[in-house]
Amino acid sequence: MARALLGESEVLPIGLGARDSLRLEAGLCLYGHDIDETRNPAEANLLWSIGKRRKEARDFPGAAASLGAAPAIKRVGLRPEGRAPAREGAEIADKSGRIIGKVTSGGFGPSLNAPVAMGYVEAAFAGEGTAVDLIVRGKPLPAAVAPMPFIPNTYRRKK
Amino acid sequence: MSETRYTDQHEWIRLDGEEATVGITQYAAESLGDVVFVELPASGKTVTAGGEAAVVESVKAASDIYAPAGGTVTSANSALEKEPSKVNEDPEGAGWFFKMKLNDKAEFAKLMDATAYGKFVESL
Repeated sequence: MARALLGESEVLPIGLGARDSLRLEAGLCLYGHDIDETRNPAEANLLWSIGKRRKEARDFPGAAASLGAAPAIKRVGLRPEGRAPAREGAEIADKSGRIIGKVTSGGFGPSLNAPVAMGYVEAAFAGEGTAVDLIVRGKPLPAAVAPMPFIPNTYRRKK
Repeated sequence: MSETRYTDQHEWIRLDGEEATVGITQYAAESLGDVVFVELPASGKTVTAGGEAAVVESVKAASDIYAPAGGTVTSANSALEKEPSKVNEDPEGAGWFFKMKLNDKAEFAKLMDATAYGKFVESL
């Protein structure tokens, strides 16, 4: 089947690396990395994915945690300065050097021609433009909290 | 006259008089995919054979680059900071990483020559 598809002139093969960099640029979470059993939709900035009726009825698993007090940590987009990427697991520090979070996905965005990352930070640092440092190979790499998607999405909703 | 040797970690080292130039091979460049960032050693840094000397970041992953032999770094290819793609375009030429002075040329002589490295790559 793969061979039949590749026989079409507009089809080219891609691998996991291409898929991962594109979904990251689109601001999409990779399960097991950016979200897992320990993160609720409010922390992950995914409350939009829960229907209005269910939010009102508070009848979904984790509703109390998601709809209760404001989350202590939040998932944010990160734009490192320069060209060095920060990858999954890199710690996020504030400008005084205190660790305030961790990168959950990171790499080089081919469409932006720049490194991009996402991760969780203490809620006080989740504001767009907040200056932080990503700890890469023991050294602080300056970065800013940035809105996601990193590139405008072009999804079409079926009419 | 210069002479080039290779490591099983896919670095090349070219000895030209007292100075050696280090980079990664065509095979390594192709395996890494598009190189987007190179972290180069500072001039004066002491490196050991097989020790970490630089880091190359491609769209796929971050990889350590090891010094093929022990010595002292004398300069780095700062052109790679602006144009890391040179590593893909010309890995064994303009895409060199750093130059160094060797502690012991015997370490260089022990490395694979082009024929041996070619056979090594074929065996992978």
